[in-house]
Amino acid sequence: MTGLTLNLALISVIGGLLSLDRRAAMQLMLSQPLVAVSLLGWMMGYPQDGVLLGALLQLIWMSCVLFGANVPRNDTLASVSIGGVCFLYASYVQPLDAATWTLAVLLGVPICVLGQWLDIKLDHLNLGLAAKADEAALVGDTRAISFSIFQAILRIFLVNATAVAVTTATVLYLVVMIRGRLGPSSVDGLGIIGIYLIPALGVAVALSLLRHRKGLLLAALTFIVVSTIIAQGQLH
Amino acid sequence: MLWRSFFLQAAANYERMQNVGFAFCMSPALAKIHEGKDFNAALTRHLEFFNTHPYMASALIGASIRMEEEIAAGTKKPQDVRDFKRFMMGPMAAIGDSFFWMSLRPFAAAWAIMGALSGIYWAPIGFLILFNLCHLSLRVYGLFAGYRDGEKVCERIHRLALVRFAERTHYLAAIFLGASGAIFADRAMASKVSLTDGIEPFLMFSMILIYLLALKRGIAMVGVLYGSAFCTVLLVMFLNSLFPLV
Repeated sequence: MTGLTLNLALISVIGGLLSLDRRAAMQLMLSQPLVAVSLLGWMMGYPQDGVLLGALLQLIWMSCVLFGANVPRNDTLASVSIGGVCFLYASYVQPLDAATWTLAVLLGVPICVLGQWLDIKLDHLNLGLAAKADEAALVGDTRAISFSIFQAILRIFLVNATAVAVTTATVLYLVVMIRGRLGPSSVDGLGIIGIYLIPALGVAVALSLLRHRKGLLLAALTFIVVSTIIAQGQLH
Repeated sequence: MLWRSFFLQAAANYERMQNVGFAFCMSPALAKIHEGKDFNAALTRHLEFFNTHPYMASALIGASIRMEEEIAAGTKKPQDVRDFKRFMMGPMAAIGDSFFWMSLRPFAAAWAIMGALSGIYWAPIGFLILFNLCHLSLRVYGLFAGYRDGEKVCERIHRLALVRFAERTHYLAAIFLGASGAIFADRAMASKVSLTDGIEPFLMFSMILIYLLALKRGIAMVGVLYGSAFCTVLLVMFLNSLFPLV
């Protein structure tokens, strides 16, 4: 139990730090699902599962982009929580199978909406910091402006770390509870969703970002060529 | 200042967007250029509304520093730097959004995803290197070019032809995504829930096409995911009750 709590704390701290990279600091793309979940998987002893789950989550959230004043769905919060649930489940409950990680994804996807709501609230709270910066500028106090930035970063970290801890614990509880009660048909159904539907949806989301029809045609041709090569066993 | 520009959006807010971050970036330079009330006025000037692409902001920061020096020398008016920022943040944001968010990131991610699926487990590191090489280079270049060229920095950035380059990355991203789809189909064939041998690529291709049409018609990803997941579970349960298909 202590190990689980410690790992949950570790996941929440990583989630909080990665959330900073999302917008508040650096923006080196460490917060992208592909990197965030891979990092989490590597830290918890599941490097390959982390990379594959990260790749899948990256695809389905490929269209989450911060344009101007638009606040997109928070894919970082959701990805870290889903990754955390999968790796904690594999460490403390049972080895991970397709039905379990699919269940974690299905239960974890709405967390991105919660994250978006939190981002909007944090932006509103920053209005107070902007007002303080105005007052500081009138007297030339640059330290106060720097402190506003520090305060904002600390607040984003704390809010996101707490959110990761709460959502990961909740989704893990739900996954353990639901997974244990599933019959063979439901397990098969979830397996099909995870192996076929989610990857297909991810590729479709990413393709929907392409502006030209030629790009879609190129993707279709590549699909056919690569499938043919694989079928002929040349890639194995 | 370059280091500070990484925190441009830390205190982003709905009224004036990146204003606090911009003033935070400018303050060390302003402290060297202006003194007393001029410094306070300059700091207040840079707390006005500001919103651009975070990676392109360094070019505007560099140009603003140059203009502040000209203001201190008396060759420019404070209103000039205000106007420059107001007119330039939009076009710079458009270039940055188009290049970084809509082209480079999907391209690098598509490459890394294809790599990860093919067994290259360091692909996420490759994604970070590929993306950040362009990102960090442009940040550094933008700051120095902005300071050197002042108001003309936008012409220099435009000459980099980022948008034209972005168009080309779309085709590469399409190739990587097509290959990823095929590898997903292959992985499905090797999984426990494999259907009839050989049908997986056709099934995967059809599903990608159906989902793409649904997304193009404006149905949200979450809606498509839950709708199809619900239908699949019901279908499998129904088929399993008739005969053990899977």
